[in-house]
Order: sequence, then structure tokens, then C-alpha cells
Amino acid sequence: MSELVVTRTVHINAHRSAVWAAITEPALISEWFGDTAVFDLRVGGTGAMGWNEWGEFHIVVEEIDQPSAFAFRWARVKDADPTPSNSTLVRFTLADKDGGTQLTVLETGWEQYDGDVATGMKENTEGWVEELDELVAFLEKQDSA
Amino acid sequence: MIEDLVAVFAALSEQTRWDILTRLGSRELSASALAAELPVSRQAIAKHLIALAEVGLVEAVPTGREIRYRALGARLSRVAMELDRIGSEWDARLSRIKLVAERS
Repeated sequence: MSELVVTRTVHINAHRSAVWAAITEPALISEWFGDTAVFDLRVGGTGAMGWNEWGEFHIVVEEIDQPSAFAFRWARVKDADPTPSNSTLVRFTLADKDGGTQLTVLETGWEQYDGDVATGMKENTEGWVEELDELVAFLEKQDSA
Repeated sequence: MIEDLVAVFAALSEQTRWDILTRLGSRELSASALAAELPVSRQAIAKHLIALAEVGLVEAVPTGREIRYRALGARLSRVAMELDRIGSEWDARLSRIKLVAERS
């Protein structure tokens, strides 16, 4: 059922340092994310992920806790600096598991997309996710009834 | 896609609208009937109903002399599907990260 969080996990048969490199080094990021990645790897560092087809999307590094957590905010609007209203937060966490690495990604911040949303939403953020879940569940039940 | 989500989230950003949707989920009601159940004026209810209808969360059902409203689940399911789709993009990216990391 939906939550306003997107999360996925993958098991990787590689040492954590290799996974850390894959998700933080621009040259490696461009192999799995966009076509280009250029940014300053420090908290507050800025840059952009580029897609030949879509253009450049600015990012800001939010967290570096090597080799456990890495987070950046990325604007989902072309050529704009990330703000809460135009971006989401992508956070990776890494853990040793079964001789390899468990990598989890969490993408959040869907509620704040737009100034108007933010005002009402911030007051209601607690419980919002659960509420949406419950609402979807019961509306689907109504639908099939 | 994003504009789509924004519109739905914006429409749901007020507690009153949740309250309205919750009540409409159990049965069709007119704006007057909703105003009788909620601590909000009929005019305010009418505005909320318009906002909810604009993003497809409720629809008007003319019933005799009054207009009743019913909740629509399909639209919220759509939000769930969009988030699933974004999750699928991450599945694909994580698979590629796995390739990059395991190669080294």
C-alpha cells in the first residue's frame, strides 16, 4: 500500500567501500543514474545530474557518513536549485550483510512539492502517511463494494 | 506526473478535506448534510468539494433536488501507482549500482 515514501533495498556482493564508491563518486554515478554527474562531495556541496534527453537537474549533498549513509536533495525541475517545493530527498544507507552489502534507498519529501501544499501540509505531516494509507485502503474497499 | 501528485496532495492538505472524504467514503452526502456533521460552514464545505472534485477525488451526483457527492478511490490508487512507478525506477538504478559495485 502506498506511503509518501519510496524505498527499495538491494543486496550487493561487494564490500561496502565498493558500494560507497558507486553511489558517491560522480564518474560511477553517471553509470547508473543519469548520463552525467558533477558535484562537490561535501555536505552542502552542489552540482547536477544530467540526462542527454532531459537536461540538468541540480542537487545538494545533505549528508555524508562514510560508509554508512549518503543523502542528496535533487530538484525534479530542470535547471533549478533544489528547494523543498521542487525537490525530493534521496538517502542511501549501507550495512554489512551476509559477506556483502545491503543497500537501501529512501526517497522522501513528496508532501512539500509546492508552496501551497507546504503550508497546510506541515501542520498535518504527522499521521499524513498513515492517513493516506488508510484512506486508500478504505476507498478501494468502497470501489469494489 | 509531478504536477499530478502535487494537485492531489494540495487538495488533501487540509484536515477538513480529509474529514469530508472520510464521510463521503461511507455514503453520498450533500454539502448541507456535510455542514451539519462538520464544524464548518456550508459555503466552506462547497469550496472544499470543488477542490476535491477538481483533482478527481470526489464527484457530484445529482439526486432529486440536491447534489450529493461521492468519494472516488481510483484517483488515490493512481497516486499509489505513481509512487510504485518511482520505486520501479529505483529498482532499476539499484540493479545498475549492484553491477558497478560488484565489478570492482
